[in-house]
Amino acid sequence: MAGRSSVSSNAATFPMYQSLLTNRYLTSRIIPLLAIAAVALCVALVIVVVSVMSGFLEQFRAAGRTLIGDVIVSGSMHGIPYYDDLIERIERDPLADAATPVVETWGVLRMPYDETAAVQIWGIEPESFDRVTDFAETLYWDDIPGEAERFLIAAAIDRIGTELAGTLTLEQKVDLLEDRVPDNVDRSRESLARQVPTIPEADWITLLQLLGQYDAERLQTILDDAQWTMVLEADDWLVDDANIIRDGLAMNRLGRPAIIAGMHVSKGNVRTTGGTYEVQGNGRWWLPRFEGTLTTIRVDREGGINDPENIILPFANEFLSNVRMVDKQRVLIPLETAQEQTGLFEAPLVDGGIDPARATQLLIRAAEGVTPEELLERVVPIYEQFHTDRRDDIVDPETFPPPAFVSIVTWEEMQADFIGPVEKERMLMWILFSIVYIVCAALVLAIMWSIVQEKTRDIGILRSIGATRRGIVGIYLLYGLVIGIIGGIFGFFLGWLITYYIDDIHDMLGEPPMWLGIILLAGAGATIGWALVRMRSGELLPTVLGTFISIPLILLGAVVVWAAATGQGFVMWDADTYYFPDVPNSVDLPVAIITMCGGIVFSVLGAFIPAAKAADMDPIKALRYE
Amino acid sequence: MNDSGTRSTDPLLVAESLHKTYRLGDVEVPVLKGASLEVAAGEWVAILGSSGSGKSTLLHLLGGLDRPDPGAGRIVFDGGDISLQNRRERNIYRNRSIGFVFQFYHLLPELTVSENALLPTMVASSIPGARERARELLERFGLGHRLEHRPRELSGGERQRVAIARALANGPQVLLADEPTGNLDEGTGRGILDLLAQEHAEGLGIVMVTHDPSIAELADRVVELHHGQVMQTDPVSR
Ligand SMILES: Nc1ncnc2c1ncn2[C@@H]1O[C@H](COP(=O)(O)OP(=O)(O)OP(=O)(O)O)[C@@H](O)[C@H]1O
Ligand SMILES: [Mg+2]
Repeated sequence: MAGRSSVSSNAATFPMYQSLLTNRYLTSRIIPLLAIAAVALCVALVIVVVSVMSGFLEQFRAAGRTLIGDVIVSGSMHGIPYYDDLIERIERDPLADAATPVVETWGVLRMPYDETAAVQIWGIEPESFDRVTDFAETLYWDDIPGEAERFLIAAAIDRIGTELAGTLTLEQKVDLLEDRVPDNVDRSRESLARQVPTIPEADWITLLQLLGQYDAERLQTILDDAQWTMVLEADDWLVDDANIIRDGLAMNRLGRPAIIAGMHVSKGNVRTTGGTYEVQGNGRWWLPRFEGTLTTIRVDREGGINDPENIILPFANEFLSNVRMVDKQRVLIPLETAQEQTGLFEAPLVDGGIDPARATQLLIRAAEGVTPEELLERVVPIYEQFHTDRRDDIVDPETFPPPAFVSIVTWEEMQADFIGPVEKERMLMWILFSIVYIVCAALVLAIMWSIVQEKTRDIGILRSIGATRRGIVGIYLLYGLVIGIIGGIFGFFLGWLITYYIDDIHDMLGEPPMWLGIILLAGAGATIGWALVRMRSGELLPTVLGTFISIPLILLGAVVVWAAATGQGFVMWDADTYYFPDVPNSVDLPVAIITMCGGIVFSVLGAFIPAAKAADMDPIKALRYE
Repeated sequence: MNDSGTRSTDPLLVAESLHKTYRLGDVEVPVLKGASLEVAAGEWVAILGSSGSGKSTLLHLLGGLDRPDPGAGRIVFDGGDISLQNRRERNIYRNRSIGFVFQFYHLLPELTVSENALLPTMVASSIPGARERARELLERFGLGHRLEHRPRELSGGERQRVAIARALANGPQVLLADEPTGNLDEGTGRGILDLLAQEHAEGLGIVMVTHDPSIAELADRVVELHHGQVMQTDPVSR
């Protein structure tokens, strides 16, 4: 025996005939290709759905924390007095990182273009607010967009108009006039110089402003350096872009307390597909160059409603939290301003003593590695102690909310209204998950069933030459495994691609391009042509196939062309419903891998039933089978 | 292998009083009613019988593809009772000890000629020298130039030769052939029979089912299946 060669080396793992047959069954017919395509589509679908949902939850979690910190203390309608003391006590706890007071109220904001919006007003202390929420990172503008600069120059000249006009030389005045007078007038410098004294002071300011707005460069050449510096220094945003963020962080604009509005409060901001923003009118409607009117209704300490109060404040910047609901309705103003608007300011009382300023909420950020729940456990006793210690300091103890009247919750509890639907959608996702897998398994099952049916005689033959039942099962399980693996890998990459380009696909659905419709219709035409040619030969299949393929193509193409022609679109990710402006597009790698493996497992599971049927087949009947 | 010296005293394959009844709903169809047969090592037995007499059934029982009615007869190969064997042993029996040849060739259409011939070897995982043996057989059967062809590219006679090569791949002692020429024209059929005779001359035992007496003449011994029983026929003089 030693001299004869041995074939045992390649019989180690899978019996050779199984892999051979699986390979041949796979490559000799179209059905397995359909099975692979089906598995790939299932896997891709799940990867896309799961990735989008996880991305959504991820965004949501990140946003939740950046917006309101980890733990929120909310007072009754009276607010929390001595909040500075409470903050100090909380920050002394090692589990807390920072805390900040907030005064929340509701109001109406009138914007420069006479648009009004109902807004949630948050009075904040920007510095500590940033420590809790990373607010600085949400400030959107760090430079002046588009042509907004020329409006800022005009506004700056307006501010220093009289002073600037007083420094103009005759020469400069003639230059200014030269630009303005119509062609039919004598434009010689002598003639213009004669006119200078007849023009009133105010008109020079207007002339300066107009030139600044429409041709800043020309103005700069007319003015001397000192004058130009004077203009720029009237608005230091013109001197250095860095001052924009500085003012945003200080909530201050030209020495006045300022508003920072959510990015979607103003209709002037238009989101681009890249996720950045453009300002309508090429910068004209840039909110930070305007003032807005905030109207609030103050509820007094007895619960009575006072007259609406108006306050005019400049805008200093806009913030983008990426939570659509917040970006659309929240505006931030300095804490003191909010306290004044709501009556929560520090006030001397008629009968002596001082009523302390109050905050409606305290936002607390947990220290690194501390969960909101752990932090919550600490804050509750701190508030109790705080209440015990300070209760007697206040003139009217009724207005000091006892612990029972204060709600101390984690951000997740606070956002229960948000989280509820998200959790439900996650449930939905899991249901989808299982359905898709069952579909996957059912497809493989159906396809393998038909193959087993077709290969009945082969099974009889294999049994007659000594193949075991287990060996037969192996062929079909291996078959399912291979379909699962190939389909799974294709599905993995397909899912990856779709997820990666999901925003582009979504945008394309939102504004279907004409070429897509034309391609679809051309495809339909080509199919019909092919079917017509083949039909002549008397075959039935081309007719049937042609009909099946061309009709959906025609319908789809027609819809796309119609949508492209009329500007209609299909918006599936409605930012208002989903809070976030973008469909999340990062592939959740572990989930994608698990999904792919799931597709493989379920393909094998689907193969089990046909495999068992094949193994149970009576070899004699199988041999007689024609 | 078989340690018996002479074929007459110690038969290799024995069927003892086999009964086989098919059940069609409530109706019982007795096909074999006490059929007995002895095949000595290297002996060529032809089984004659009219259509539906149970020839194929008997062959399937001999090949361990089916079992006789419970308690009604036994099949002994090389001293061991096939009907008492478990599944694994019967699979090995089919794979090693016997080879089936069918009227309709029964090749696997997706496999090439050489793969078909090697199939029993692959099923057995590893039999030393089998690859060479299969190649040798195919060449001996005049199929050396057809190794990579698919069965559908071959003529009926060629296909049946591939089937015989497959049946012989693992070196069985007995070939069970069910009307091996039934689907072939006379000349081609003659070629197949010559090939069987040649293998027989080299010591292969053959049980061949046919309903053509002129073909049965080639065998050492002819029996007839009649009313579910095996009738001995006088040896035909050559
Ligand atoms: N699974 C089955 N169920 C019921 N009856 C069967 C079954 N298989 C075979 N038979 C019957 O048993 C009888 C013998 O069948 P078998 O195939 O053994 O005959 P045969 O002698 O090989 O015939 P042929 O020469 O036509 O091949 C026939 O009457 C057939 O109808
Ligand atoms: Mg028969």
